[in-house]
Amino acid sequence: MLFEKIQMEPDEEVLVMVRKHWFVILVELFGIFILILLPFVALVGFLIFQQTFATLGIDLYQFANLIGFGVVAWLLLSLMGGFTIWTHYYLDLWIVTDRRIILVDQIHFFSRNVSVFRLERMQDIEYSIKGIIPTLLNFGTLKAQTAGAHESNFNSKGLPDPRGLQSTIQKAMDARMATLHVRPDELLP
Amino acid sequence: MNGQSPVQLTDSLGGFMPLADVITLLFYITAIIYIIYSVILYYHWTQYGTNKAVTGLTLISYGLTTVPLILIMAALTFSF
Repeated sequence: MLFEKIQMEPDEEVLVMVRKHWFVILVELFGIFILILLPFVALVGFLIFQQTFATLGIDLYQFANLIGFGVVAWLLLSLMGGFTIWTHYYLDLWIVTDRRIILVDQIHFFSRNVSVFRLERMQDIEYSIKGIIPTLLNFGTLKAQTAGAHESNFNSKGLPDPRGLQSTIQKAMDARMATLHVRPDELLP
Repeated sequence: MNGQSPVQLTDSLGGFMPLADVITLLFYITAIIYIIYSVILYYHWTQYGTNKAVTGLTLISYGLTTVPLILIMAALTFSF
């Protein structure tokens, strides 16, 4: 499992684990749902226009096995697509601990990016919620910047309650600073 | 259709190879893709999953929905 691979530090506490908002996967899975429905819609169409096909000399019942094979293959591939979307959704996550932020970005199979940002190196954290649906459902983009010789930024789209997540990270950062006896101002250039 | 009946149409594929063989070939290709995909899916969930219950539920759902389909495909393939 994932936590065995991440190797948490001694006494490191997971504060929050976040995946993308359910609306994000709902939209993607809706596409798969349409794909699954497609052959059945086509079959209904064939049945409605059965007479037309008969006049063209095409007897669909002669093709029953072939059509059945095609429909089942289509359903199988669509389901595989659906499980791929679910896998990418579930394995793509943010883990905020009391010491660091771990970003697991499952881009696609065999393309996985795991980034670790220590809280004491964090600088700006900003969130944005743009659009009607994100506003109503409270999801958006969270951006953060870390201090260092080579500045690195990260941002994630479609995160639920970005304001709450920003607040959690901010509190964790402050607590971390207090633990390390470092004033936040001292880290700024 | 130049007088070609549906039965003749399904018997061969442009003289290239018999339709039954084409379907069998397609079935084997699909089965290979399915097996490789299943192994990849299983690997990802067992290696990177965060919750054993969700991993188990996902893999069981995957098996329950896709294995019957591949069996139906096999049955249809060998009924040609």
